[in-house]
Amino acid sequence: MNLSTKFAIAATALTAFIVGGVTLIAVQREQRMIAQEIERKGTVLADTLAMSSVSALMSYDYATLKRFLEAAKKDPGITYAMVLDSTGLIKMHTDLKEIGRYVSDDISARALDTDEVLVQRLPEGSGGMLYDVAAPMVAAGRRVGVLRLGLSTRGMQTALQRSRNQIALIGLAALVLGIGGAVTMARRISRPLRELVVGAKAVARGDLTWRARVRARDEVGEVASAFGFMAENLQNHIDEKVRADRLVTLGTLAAGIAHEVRNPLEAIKGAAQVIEKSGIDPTVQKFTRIIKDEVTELDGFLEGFLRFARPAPLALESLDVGELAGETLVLLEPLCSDHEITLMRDLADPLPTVTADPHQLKQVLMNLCLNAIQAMPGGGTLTVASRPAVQDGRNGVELQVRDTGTGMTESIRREVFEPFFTTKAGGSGLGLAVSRSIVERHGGRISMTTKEGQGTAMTVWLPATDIGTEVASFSEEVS
Amino acid sequence: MQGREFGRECLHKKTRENRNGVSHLIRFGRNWSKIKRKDLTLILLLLIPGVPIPGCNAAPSSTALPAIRFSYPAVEDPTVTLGKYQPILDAMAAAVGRPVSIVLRNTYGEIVQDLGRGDADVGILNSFSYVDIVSRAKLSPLVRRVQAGRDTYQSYLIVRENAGIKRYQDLRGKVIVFPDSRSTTGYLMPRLMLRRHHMEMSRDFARVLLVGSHESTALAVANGTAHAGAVASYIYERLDPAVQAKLDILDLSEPIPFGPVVARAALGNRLLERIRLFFVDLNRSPQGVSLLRDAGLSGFTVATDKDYVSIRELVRRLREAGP
Repeated sequence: MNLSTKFAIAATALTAFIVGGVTLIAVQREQRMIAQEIERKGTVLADTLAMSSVSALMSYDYATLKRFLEAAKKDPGITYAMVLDSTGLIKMHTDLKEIGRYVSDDISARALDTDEVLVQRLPEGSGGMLYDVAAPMVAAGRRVGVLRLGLSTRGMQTALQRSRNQIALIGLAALVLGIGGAVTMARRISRPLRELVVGAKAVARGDLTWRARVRARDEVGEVASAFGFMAENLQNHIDEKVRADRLVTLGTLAAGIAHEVRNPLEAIKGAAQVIEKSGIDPTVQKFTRIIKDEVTELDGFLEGFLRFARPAPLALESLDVGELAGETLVLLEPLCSDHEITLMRDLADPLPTVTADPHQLKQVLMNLCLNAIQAMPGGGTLTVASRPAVQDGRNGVELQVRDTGTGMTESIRREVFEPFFTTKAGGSGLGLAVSRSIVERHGGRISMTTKEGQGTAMTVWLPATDIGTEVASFSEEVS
Repeated sequence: MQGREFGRECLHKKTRENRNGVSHLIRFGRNWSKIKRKDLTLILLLLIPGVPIPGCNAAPSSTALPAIRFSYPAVEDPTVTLGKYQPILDAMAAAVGRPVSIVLRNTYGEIVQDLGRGDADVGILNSFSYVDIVSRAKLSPLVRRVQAGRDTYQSYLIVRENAGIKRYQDLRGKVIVFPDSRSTTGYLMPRLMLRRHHMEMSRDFARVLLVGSHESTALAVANGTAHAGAVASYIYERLDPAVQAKLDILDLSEPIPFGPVVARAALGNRLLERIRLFFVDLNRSPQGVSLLRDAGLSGFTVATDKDYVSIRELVRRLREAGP
């Protein structure tokens, strides 16, 4: 039996119990009240009528006595009214067939014998009750007769039955609504749980891309959200682990290459220098220079590869990112000019101080700027901006490099930080990978927004070493 | 003035407003039941709603004229009777052209006194009351009612069923009940009927009860209080079938004329004739027939003193025989 069925059954049983209990209590209470009301009414009416009728009985004014009883009988709850003399002779009765008859039953005997108002209960057909109320008629201290009223609950029984039916109807409606509500509630609770089960199974299969679609703002929603967050974190950790493993592999590979390739390259380079110095003909010298240049370039590639795989230790110092950016941009001005690119500076001052390796940070900024320049072959605007920024509650500095170039497609964007990924002929594909590695080793983050045909913005965030000034964000500036 | 004139010194009770918006105040009499119910009906029919009360609801054409003072007995539920007979009384006021003030009385004896002292101009009497006073007051009988096509009624001597009373002699030693010692059919006639069989109330019965009304008389016999009694024929006919079933009629009297509506001769022949004509003509128009039907009457016929010669003779004989 699943959870929703159990919940629905439990809620239905509870509703039925409550509705049944309330109905029972209401009916019993009403019955009790009716009985009390009948007794009270009968006592007052019989006593009053007895006192009023004594004179008519004593003076044989039976016409008046008859009218008194007929008036009382107009009350729908009164089934009969009668006056007996002290011998038990019915002197007057609302059913005139009864007059002149002697009564001898136990009820009548007790009624004739009472000195005060006497209420006697008799079961009546159809579950009703008849209340025989007897009030002595006294003249000059002597009991001269008794007035009796019969009050039936039958009329009230009908009202009571109607009331019971109404209560039952309300109870039934409450039960139906309760069951409906319980089933709906059970489904609402179990649906996200079923989704969570599906998600858990997906994660167990290794599909960490599953995310909860539960929108409930309750505990179940929190569980689903936490579950999705857990899957996402797990995916991130796995990605990080894969990348770390890849870097370790690359480091090992780099060491092998350094050992196996750089030494022969040094030998080739030395041999080329010897040949160059031997004074042979110019054609040979030309080719030896080519050999030397290519060896040098190959060495440079290996150097960069080694730096990525086995990055140099950070030489940290406190520095002003704005100032560092200014120094770097001076070097880029001629290149921008050559490519008809307008270089814009938007550097906030002051900025929170960061603790960083200035050389490696310059390398990052240079990489980003060169990529931007290359993305604007027909010219454009290169903007470099810096501002204080808070990420995850931490103060820091944002450094943004924005171009108005070609932008990137979605597929390129997804892989642009991967090592050896390049869209440029002759590119190493290590520039952004190295940049990200440097930024992350500084405890920062690098992110990108791009739109095809409109440009790209690369944003580097670095944590501050002291409390910064005003905080802002560059996010969404390129869209 | 000894009489309790309506709206003045009597016990007042607000009943209902008539069509002119004037409230009628009715006094209840404790001994109303001493007067025959049908007589009361007639009286109310004549006098109650729409009748101009001095200073109150006189018709426009008659506001300046002195009111006719009508003495009549109070009945058990004046509000019902007032509502039922107001149209007739409105018609009468308009026909006579005089306002009418109402004087409620408990018994025929009080009405007799009013007429004798000049405190009332018109009154309703039963036959015995009429013959009892006509010699002492200058009164003119105007009309008497016709009911179910008859202008007379009878006295029924009733006994309880299964009481073993089949003839007059069986009544000896029993308890007998009557409405009122001034009732024609409820006392005088049965007394004469008993005498015809050599029976005297004071001698031949265990007890003689006077219970106030014809209906109570019938009920007293039916419920075993008494073995026998006497009631007016129209009262007997109106009894509940369950009560009738408990009664047997031992004997019945010769027909007796209904009591008259009488007026003081001082009103003048012209006015007396207009009042008489109003009642006599009632059953000659569809509207009048409708009003009479609502009151349970067939109409009215002219009453003369000769109509009551037999009653007067009856009273004489009873008086000669002693109490």
